[in-house]
Amino acid sequence: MTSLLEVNGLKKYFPIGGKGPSGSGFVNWLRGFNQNVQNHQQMLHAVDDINFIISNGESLGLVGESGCGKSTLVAMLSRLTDCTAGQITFAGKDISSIPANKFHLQPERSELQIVFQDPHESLNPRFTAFDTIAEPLRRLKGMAEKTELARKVEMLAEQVGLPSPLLGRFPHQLSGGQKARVNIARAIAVAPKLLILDEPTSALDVSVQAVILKLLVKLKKDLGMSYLFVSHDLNVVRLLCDRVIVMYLGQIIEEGPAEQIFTNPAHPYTKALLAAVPGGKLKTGEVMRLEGDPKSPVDPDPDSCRFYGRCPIGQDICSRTAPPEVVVGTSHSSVCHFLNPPVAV
Amino acid sequence: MVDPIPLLDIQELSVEFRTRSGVVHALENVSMKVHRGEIIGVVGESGSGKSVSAMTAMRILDPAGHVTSGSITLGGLDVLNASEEVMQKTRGHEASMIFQSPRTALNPIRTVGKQIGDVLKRHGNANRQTVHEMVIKALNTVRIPDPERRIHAYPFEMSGGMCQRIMIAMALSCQPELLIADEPTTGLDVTTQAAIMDLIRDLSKERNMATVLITHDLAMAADYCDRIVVMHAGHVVENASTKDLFAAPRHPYTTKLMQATPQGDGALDDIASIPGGLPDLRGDLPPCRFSARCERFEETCNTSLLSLDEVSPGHFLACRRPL
Repeated sequence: MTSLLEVNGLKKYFPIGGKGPSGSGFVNWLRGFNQNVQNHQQMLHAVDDINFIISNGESLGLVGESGCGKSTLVAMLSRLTDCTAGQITFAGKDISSIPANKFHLQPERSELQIVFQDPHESLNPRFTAFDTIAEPLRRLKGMAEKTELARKVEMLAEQVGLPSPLLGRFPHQLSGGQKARVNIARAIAVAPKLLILDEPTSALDVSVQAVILKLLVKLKKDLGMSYLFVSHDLNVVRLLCDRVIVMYLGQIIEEGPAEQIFTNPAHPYTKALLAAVPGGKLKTGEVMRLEGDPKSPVDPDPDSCRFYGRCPIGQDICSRTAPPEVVVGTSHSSVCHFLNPPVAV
Repeated sequence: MVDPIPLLDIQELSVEFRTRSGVVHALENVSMKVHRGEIIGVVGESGSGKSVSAMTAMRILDPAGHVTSGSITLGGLDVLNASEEVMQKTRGHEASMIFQSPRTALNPIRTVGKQIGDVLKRHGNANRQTVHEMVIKALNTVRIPDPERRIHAYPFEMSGGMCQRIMIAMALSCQPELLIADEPTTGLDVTTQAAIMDLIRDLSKERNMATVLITHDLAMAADYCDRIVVMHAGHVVENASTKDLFAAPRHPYTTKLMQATPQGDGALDDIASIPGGLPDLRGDLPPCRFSARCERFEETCNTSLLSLDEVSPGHFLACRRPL
């Protein structure tokens, strides 16, 4: 398998504090002049040094708590925001150097599509389902001929299982599951190579969720796409993904094949995450519970484990040295001080 | 162990909403009992009437909703015929509720300490001297670290899980006998969800409270509830102890719901999807509202009115052709 998307040392920092007069260069200069205060811009490390690869035809799961940087990462990968540092190589081309506001002019725009989190909020309320699905075809593929467009949209609607009489409806006239289908049809309209799914089912009932998940698996088989599946529902990730990445506070703390991660998690955070999944079947032995909230992502200490303080097995060393990356199994690695690499790999 | 007289007793409750486009029959002959020290889970898809039942029990239903028949008894009080004055005393004191989204349910421009203090002053005999101490105590019960500092925080300064703890602290500050938690963890992370649910369970066992947990997550209900009530389109279709329900579900809808929930191991093909959606609750409905989606449907299903019958001890079912 060749790699489709390669991410190297990707970072996104947000400066803290407004852009008002108090933050302007002149004021800072004056301030420094008068008070001799060291001026230090605080930085929120939303995504900090992320490396991973998505191969052709693979589905990769991305899990983590809210606030761990999943959505920022997704926005950068789909080139909706610029990154602070690092490289995104998509199908052999470095797309991270293209500014986000110019990316729609690139041919890669139609090869990298995204299905947004909330099916209700991410549709234009004044567009009918037909317009919504036709929009990327018009804009990115330059399809203007009416009958051709109609034929293509109907074909897409059939692919996602949306009855064609519903195409004339507006979002408020559609149910949640139907809106999810419109969203998916819009994303696959331009035949992308990589589809990023940002919690596609979290707003849906279980009965609808099952239908949408099956649809996604079928589409992947039919169209040969790769998926990046972002979710905090671990059971869903397990069903759909080949490989899983676990993020904590902007960093990848564990990466490996889905079955490995779910049956044999290495990092204490992954273990706690799995223990928290309701249903009881995953619980083995003692139940781990995390107390408290993650540390602040503002200027984190580079010489400490970010999970330290919440970690049930945390020790003194965790606050002094950043944990190393340890290979714990076949293409399964994790970042922690207390891991033993397998005897022979 | 279980008190023979239930704390909350809902009998044959029917609620309808009169709207411009017709009368919506939101609830029909809904019955459930909640005993002290018991956690009851109410599960079903969105729109099945879970929240309407809870709101009717607290009598905070939207003015468009009308109770057409049935009765609700809360610790000897006839809820539907009580005066508003009595209800105001009851809410917060004997029964309290945790709402779905903690961020919108809290007042954004008052500190959390003040908001908990309000409840205590209104219902819990706190005065200006004692209120601070009582708020600290309330924050301690929900395991908020550093309550002395947090008491001055605004909701936006706290994470979603923290806000939900504040809601729980408010609900529990006056030692209610009944706690209704309406989707208390929707929108929270799994780790936070587990912490919040553990807290609700521990507190309700500790205080011998009756707890109603409204959720659409069957797996979560299985973990935390003693008894589960399955609702579909305004009907209670099955009501059984968690053990019985998961060992041998009888209603086709319950089985479908279980199969639709991802279980961790197993393949995608094992997951069933429930065909169709909830029926339109306006106008005339067949006696079994699941009949249009049911695989086991036969003509006999809709011949006469269905009732919730006890098929085995403690296991109630409304189905003509059970599994």
